Amino acid sequence: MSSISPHLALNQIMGPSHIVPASSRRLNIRLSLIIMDKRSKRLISEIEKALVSRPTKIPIKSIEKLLGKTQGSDRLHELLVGTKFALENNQAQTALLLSAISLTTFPENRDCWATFGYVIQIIAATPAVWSVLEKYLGKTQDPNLLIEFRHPIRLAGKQDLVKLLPIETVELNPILITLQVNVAQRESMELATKILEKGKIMLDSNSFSATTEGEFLYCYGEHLLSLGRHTDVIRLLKPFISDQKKIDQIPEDQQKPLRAVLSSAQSRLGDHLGALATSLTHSVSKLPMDESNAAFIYNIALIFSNLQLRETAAELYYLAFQMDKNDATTGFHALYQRSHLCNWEDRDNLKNACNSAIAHSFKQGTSRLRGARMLASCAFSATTMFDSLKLQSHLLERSAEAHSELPAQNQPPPIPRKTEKIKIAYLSADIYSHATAFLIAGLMESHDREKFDIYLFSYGINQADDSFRKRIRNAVGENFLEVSQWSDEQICASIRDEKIDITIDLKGFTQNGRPFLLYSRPAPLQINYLGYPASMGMPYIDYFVGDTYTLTNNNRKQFSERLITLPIFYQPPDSSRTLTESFDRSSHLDIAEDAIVLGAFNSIYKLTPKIYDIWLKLLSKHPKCILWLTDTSISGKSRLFKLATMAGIEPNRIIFAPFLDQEEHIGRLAHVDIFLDTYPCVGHTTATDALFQGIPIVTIAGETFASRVAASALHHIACSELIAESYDSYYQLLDEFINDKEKLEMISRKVKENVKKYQLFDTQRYTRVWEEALTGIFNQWKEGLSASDFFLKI
Amino acid sequence: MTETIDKNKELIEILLNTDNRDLAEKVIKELKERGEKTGLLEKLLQSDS
Repeated sequence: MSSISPHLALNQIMGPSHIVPASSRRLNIRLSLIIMDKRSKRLISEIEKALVSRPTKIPIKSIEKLLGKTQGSDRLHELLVGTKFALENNQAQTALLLSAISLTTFPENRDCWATFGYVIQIIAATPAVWSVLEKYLGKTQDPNLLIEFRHPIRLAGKQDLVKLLPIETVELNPILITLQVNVAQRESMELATKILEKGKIMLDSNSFSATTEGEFLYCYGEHLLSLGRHTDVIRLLKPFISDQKKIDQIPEDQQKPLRAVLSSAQSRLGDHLGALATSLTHSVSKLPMDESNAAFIYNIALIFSNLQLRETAAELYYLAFQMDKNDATTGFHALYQRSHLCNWEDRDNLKNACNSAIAHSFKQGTSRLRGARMLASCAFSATTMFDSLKLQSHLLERSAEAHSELPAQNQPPPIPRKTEKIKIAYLSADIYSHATAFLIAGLMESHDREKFDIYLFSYGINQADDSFRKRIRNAVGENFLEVSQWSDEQICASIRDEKIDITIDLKGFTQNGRPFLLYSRPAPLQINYLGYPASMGMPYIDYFVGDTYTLTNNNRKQFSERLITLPIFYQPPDSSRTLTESFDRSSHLDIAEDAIVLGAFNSIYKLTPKIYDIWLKLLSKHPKCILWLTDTSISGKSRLFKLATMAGIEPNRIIFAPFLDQEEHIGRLAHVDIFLDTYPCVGHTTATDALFQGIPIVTIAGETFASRVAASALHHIACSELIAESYDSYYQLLDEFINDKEKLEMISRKVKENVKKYQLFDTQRYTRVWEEALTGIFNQWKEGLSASDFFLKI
Repeated sequence: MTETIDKNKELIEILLNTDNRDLAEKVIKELKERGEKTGLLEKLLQSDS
């Protein structure tokens, strides 16, 4: 088959950097200048074709023909030369299969191990290759195969191979234990925990290399992290990572994921500086612009964003995305953080790249739960930065993949109780002066305690003396549970102990949420409500809540949950809010008496260049208009002023409104003539704040749920004339209202009247409707019916 | 206030100890822009050079 030079070993030909030096036991094979005869070339092509068309079947006949009757070192030559030839001719499946055969036939030869190790880094193994390895393991029970190739084995999800080894062999090796844990995690997290606990005792009583110890601790730490046992992660990993002698022995690329697990736990517990000290070990700017450094920079950016240092975070996210443009998560973060600073440089390219990246699976990494974490991290930015049903479909695909990565759950399904009262548990990290708390405070006070027991699991690290927290705590009473230091397991155990009937996740995929908390299904019915304005795509979340306007025939398809469609605006109002006495306009705005105030108080990240351009055109056309805008950073302001100047607008016509508490903010809204909504992410709570003050909002109704919220509020008070369908009609509507004072006064009056007429802020009415929905889905479940779309009529 | 100053000091120290002077400069600029006291942090930066 080949002619062989006596001078070059295979590892020299194939690239020594990837090849483990051959041991002294190796057969002395020297190859070079491989010349394949026509027949061998044809046979290798045949093998490749067979493997591509039927990846499960080993093309035995073609392989036998290729190897002929060779024995011993001649056979080894043929296999290695065939491998080399196949590799050079882009027949990688054949190369991998031949290298697997050579490894399992000549296990004493280190070249064979090195060659297989090299090829499996290039291409994922087909079932045919795994069957060769499986057969070898079954026969020899050689633990080294699993130890040496643990990384590709993990990537391929073939950890089951560990079952072919005797348990006593597995229990004595920390690496094999990690594979055993991966298998156990699919069946029972409890079992996996027990294996890890036992493994840790073994690890502590024996001496292993720091690399082995680090790998075991990474597996254990990640397991605890996925259980939400953040304190335990710190207890486990900190001593090892702080031990300079040990950590220095671990290669850099293995240190990073270990440090990332610890820093995630620290961040979760609010110790962002600790997280930074753990993760940041060397200069960021000296790192090469290489894909392999992107994840590290992303982790550092995440910590800066938790430290509220947006400029620095935005820069780092953008840098990480430049290093790896296939990483959708980093791209969305770069887009989102830059949007907070009104930094729209390279925005279209960034958006296009994000759109392309999210269409593909998240890249696999060392972490088993990487996909789930990536999804949780980017879904909110993706949902708010785009009005795209297609993107929502891609998010659903990523959710399905992430869900398949989650550990096994074997909790028995809850059994219907004979009870008069339905037990409801709300879960959130935002029980303080935050949009969610503003929305639910009235609801918490208005729930009918004769029919419902209300619980609130507060897992955010919030100020105890916050006025909204106090108000909600008072409303919920002894069932208000401060659980920020509890693991997911502990929270779920408590939900089970209390026999909660319906859990309501108020966070979903938003910052500081615990989107996988309810994965073990601690309650029979679980709802995604208010916080995350899109589907979570998780089968353990039964329902999503919207209304007849936010949910459309088109966007309903983008929900994995069954839909609860309320007949009224889906957001709970707080009728106990009062309009404070309005200060004189001059106390807020130093402007002319007859100025028309265009107010735009949505969070600044929702502002886009397209919308801002429309506002500037309006300012340019109508000299009496001033733009009253949410405050932003100095750099954000300077970018907005610069664009205004370029459009010929005097900077003093753009006024930034400082942050005020809720009551004062509502008070100052009285000085706004028209509320300008943003798009694609429209106003949610800010929009209803404006309506509470009776201010007309001009909005664009998009396609996704998140892009229809403000329009829905207007629809439910019969003010659809304020809803635009496009950028052009948005401009025209605003232009007309600014031009026609009478028309503006009429619509302002109508908004004020209709808010009352259609009871938009009637908490009691809302609560009764909401309770009817909860009772309805609960009764369906009690009757043994599976969750289905639930429409309520008034 | 004291707590914030201490935390900012710790942050800058982490950055300087890990050879991230450019990040430290960016952070100080950002803190300054949002009105936080940065005199001590700038001194740290100077003493590092």
